Amino acid sequence: MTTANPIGDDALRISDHKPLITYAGDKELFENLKLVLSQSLSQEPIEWRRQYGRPMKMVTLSTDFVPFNKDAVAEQIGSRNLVGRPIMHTFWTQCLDVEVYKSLLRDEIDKWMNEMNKHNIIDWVIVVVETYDLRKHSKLLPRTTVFDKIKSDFAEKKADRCLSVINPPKSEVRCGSSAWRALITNVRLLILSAFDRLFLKYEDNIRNYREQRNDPSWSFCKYFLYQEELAFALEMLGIHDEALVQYDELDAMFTQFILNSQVGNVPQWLTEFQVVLEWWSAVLFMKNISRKQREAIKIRKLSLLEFRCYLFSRQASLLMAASKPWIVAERALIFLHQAVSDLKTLEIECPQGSVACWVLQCCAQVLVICQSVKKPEHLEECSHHTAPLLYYSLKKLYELGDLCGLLPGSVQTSEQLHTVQVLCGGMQSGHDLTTATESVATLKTALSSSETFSKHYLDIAELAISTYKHNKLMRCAHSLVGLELAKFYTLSGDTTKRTMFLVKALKLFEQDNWKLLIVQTNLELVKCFKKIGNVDQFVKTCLQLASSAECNLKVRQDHFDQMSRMIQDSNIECIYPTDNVIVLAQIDVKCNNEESNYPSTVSLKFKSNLPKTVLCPKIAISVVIGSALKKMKSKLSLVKSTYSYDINKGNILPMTYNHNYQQDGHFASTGITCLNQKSYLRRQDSQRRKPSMNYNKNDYHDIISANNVNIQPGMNSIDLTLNNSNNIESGIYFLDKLSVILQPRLELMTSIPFGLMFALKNINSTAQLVLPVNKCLFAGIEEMSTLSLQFGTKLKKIVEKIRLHSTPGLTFCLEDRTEFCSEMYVKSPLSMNSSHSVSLPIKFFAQLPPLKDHPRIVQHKLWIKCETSSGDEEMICVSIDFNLPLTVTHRLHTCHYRKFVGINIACHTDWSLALMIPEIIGVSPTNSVVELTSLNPTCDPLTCLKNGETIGYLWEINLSSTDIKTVGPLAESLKLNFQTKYSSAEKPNCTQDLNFEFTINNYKTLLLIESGVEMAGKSGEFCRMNTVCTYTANFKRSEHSEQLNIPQSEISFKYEIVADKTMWAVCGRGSDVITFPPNSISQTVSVEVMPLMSGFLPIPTLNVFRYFPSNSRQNIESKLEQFSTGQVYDASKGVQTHVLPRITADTS
Amino acid sequence: MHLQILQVYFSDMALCVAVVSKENAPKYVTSLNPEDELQIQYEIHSSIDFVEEKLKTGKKDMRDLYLGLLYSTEDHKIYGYVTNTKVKFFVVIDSSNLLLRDNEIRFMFRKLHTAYTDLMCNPFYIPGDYITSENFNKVARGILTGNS
Repeated sequence: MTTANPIGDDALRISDHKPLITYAGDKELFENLKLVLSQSLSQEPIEWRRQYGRPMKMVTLSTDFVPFNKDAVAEQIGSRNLVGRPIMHTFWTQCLDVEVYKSLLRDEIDKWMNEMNKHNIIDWVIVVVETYDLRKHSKLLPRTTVFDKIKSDFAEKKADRCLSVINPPKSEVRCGSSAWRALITNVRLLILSAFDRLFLKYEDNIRNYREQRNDPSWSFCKYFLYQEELAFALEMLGIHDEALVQYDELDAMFTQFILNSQVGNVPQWLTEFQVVLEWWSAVLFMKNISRKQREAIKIRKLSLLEFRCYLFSRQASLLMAASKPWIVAERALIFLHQAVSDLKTLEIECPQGSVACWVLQCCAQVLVICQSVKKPEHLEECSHHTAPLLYYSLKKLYELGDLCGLLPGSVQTSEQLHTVQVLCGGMQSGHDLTTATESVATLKTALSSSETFSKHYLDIAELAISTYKHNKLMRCAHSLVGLELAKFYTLSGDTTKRTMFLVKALKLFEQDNWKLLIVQTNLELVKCFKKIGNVDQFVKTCLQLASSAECNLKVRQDHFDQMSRMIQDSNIECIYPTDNVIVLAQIDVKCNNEESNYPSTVSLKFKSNLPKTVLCPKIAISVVIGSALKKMKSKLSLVKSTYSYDINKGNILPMTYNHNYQQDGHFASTGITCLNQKSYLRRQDSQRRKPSMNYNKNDYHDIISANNVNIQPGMNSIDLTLNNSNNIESGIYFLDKLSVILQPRLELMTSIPFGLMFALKNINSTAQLVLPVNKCLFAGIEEMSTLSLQFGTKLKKIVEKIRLHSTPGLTFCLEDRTEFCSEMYVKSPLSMNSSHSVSLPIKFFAQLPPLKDHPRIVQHKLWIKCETSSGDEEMICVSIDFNLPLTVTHRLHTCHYRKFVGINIACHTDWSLALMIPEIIGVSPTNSVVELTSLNPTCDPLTCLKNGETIGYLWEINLSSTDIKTVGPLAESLKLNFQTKYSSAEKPNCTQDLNFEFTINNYKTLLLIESGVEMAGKSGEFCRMNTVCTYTANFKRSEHSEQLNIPQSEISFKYEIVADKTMWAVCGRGSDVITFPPNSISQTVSVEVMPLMSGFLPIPTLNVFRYFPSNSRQNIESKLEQFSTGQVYDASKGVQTHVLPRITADTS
Repeated sequence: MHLQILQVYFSDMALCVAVVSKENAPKYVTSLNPEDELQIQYEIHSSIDFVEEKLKTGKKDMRDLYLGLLYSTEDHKIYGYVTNTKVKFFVVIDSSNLLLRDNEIRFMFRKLHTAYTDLMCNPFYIPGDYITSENFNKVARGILTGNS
């Protein structure tokens, strides 16, 4: 076939056709009216109301007029051609003379009417055009007019078919007259009703024909042409949508026939479509209908694809005419799929690749049409439908490339070259190729060489991907087209681009969590990463694949092995999230030590998705400090001893009861409520992506760990232990991350759900002395005790050495030793018991402190320094209080001028204290001037004292009078030392020395006082109450001073009489200064006193002070000084006097 | 036009039935032919785009949960349905299977939706989990084989 035929003959252009109207009668008249009439008819649309409730349409009638030809009419009526057939017949006359009508016109009309009747034509109109000559016009109306006559003669029952009108061109003023408007309206209505009737009749015919479809001679092609006429006619009237309906019905019917053929219902006409496909050119957008093609349909010479193309082309042109180009694009894909499916159904033999060529041409043409759309909104709409077409083209192009050896990396065989030739040949069709040339040329170029093919392929892909992206269809863009491109780049060897597209697709799949697709993409990606040497990604992907349940075991194992080898060969450190490899199921933190809350074990339950058992060098859990030591004390109690997390319980909402009370406190209602509901109700859309994992290791990254663990596929339970905890600060710790080292340099990490915690409390070592209840230690005696050491957190390991040392004055030794010392080492091994404590029996000896004025307790300290083998050391300090077993006091006693020293020893021990015979010696130089005479009994060498008992000893001090002058000053102050030995009564052999040194100053008697009370004036009589008596005090200076030859100087005393005011009233001067002139030894003072009560009353006593008088010359003020004990001896101390009661009136 | 439909019995009604969560993750996929499943999954995954597009543009009548034909290839036609909670149902049918009209597809979805609602009412089912319910599976397999 060639394209030799001129297009003009072949083309059928529906738009050129208009409804035909014939005219007869006064042709000259009509020629004049034709233009006006035609314009008037098409001036405005008219409602087309149809029978059987079909939807009303607005139709604009544009008409063509042809002279009436009775032969042509006969032929047209007989044909099935709806387009070329006149729809209305008109007869025009302007005869106004009745006579003329009767003689000529009536016959003419009659003849015309006969033709009408002959063909059963009822769509006719007779128009009488009246041309009024106003000048000639008589005022009288004629009795009867030609119009009336015609009406009565021809249109007795159809008055509306006989119309009268005033000739508008001749009276233009009246052009818009009612008569003319009525004519136009009537004609329009008549034309439309004529069409309605025609269509109904035609549809009946079509239906009748369709009913015969089971007739073997029936042909769909014939039927198609038949019904298509209807579409033509509708298109001619401008009703494109209804015309389209006709084609759609034909399309559906054809499809149904093909479908039915599947079950063996193949009519004769259909078999003619089943011939081998010879041509696969596609022409989709024909401007004109090819008569030749219609003819070919009629004689069943069109191939299935050509027929389909014709059908689609008609549908498309109607859609374009209705300015809905995007529907063309939308339908194109369905059409192509249907056509391809039809070929398969009908088992039409198609040369390989031919269908692809055809599809590609079709797509290209649709795309051209879509690109030519001008309106932006239409263009946007089109782009939604072009993307799938482009993708379809891409697939078909790949198919062709594969077939013809045009894909990158393949070499064309001669066979394939031949295929290309065959395919190109098949695209040259005899039809009008003007609209298709471009698409054919493009395809041919693409098929010409591998390079052009690749370019074309990539162009299409680029267009497809960008169109999808433009339409925001990312999944289509990256998954459909992207993966196609990845496949293409696999062949071209461009691994980088291939990887890029795969990764993009993978992201989408991961985002939507489509596991099967993820696995599939990963399988491809692994190859890419291996090729481009991206170890990190390779290992990561392998790991994912190895743990994918969607893969079969062999693939998983294979990838796992590949990964292991890769890590061994490279030296990259890999850290990945555990993701799906290790899935945590349960974590339990158990603290077995109540006091310190040590999480001694963390039980881990997880699922391993690895394909085989792995010996894992280390599993560790890192912790983060939640709260430091300072704040811990209050919170520590809140930390439970066990915490657990179960992934299966993660979804359970924390529900609690919710009781509502009225204002007055009455119970109103109850229900359940979810705690922390906000976190559960939070929108999750925006948080689909997991936050990226932080792989930073903190200081405590492997604090809880287990080494060399076998991880089996499936569930694993592993206990991890806390180690090295003594280096951690006390506090609350949260489990942070789980790290699983699968093999050296391959670590998996995941965050542990928040809320798992433990408290770590470091305990310092403590030491204490163990003493029996109510027992205390005493100084100055050997004491047994046990030193108990409790080792703290740091010293849990073996303590190597303990150093003990003490404050001065305290010595000690172990129980089994005898040498006391103040520093000592206890060497390991120490027998440490399970609670990390050690007991050391130890002997103490604290020296007795100087006993004078000493508190009853001696405080000592013992330092214990523990050292471990690892160099840690810790110092502990123990305070030890020693009580004094005894206290010693001394006292000076005087009797006139004699002096005695008394020693009292009080015992405080709860055991018996044995005392040896004491002695007292003067310490040099006292010993030279003083002699001490013991006044103690000497019979018992050992005196036992019990708690609270006191023993007294007494010595007289005798000044050796031999050498008074030299010794004199030395004797002013006496230094004495009391010595004795004591021991525990139970251990009399272990005696300890007791030394008590003391000094006696100013002990000599300076003043001797003798006093007494006597009745005033009546010496020798008893005093009487309320009677004045005389208190006499005699002061006598020491005699010794004379003996010592010390010149007696003037000396003054001040005395004060001290008397109980209830007993005595001092009437005279209660105090005075007495001055002893030199060489005066004694003086006497008398004061009047009055006893206030009767009985034996202690006489008033005297307080005596040394008085230094004032000296105005030396500017010295007078002052008083107290005597020290022993310097003043009151001989009358304690003397009482007998006071008689007052003499009553009776006695007197 | 009233064209008599010839009685053709296809034993298979649909090729694949899938339920996709509102986060677009697959929650249930069952196919008639396991060997097709991968390809069909690619197609269903891409169809999510069209569902989202339809939901976004608001062209869809929100009362009608049926989305119609989303995507078609030479072999498959993918129909969609979205619940008010944005759970998507997909039914994939063979392109050559022209016997299934819109109404039949709608009916499949209705059945699927009912089964899904029943599943949701089960207190032992945790929403969001992969669907392993026997009843649901029975309904879905019924849609595949047409024996329901």
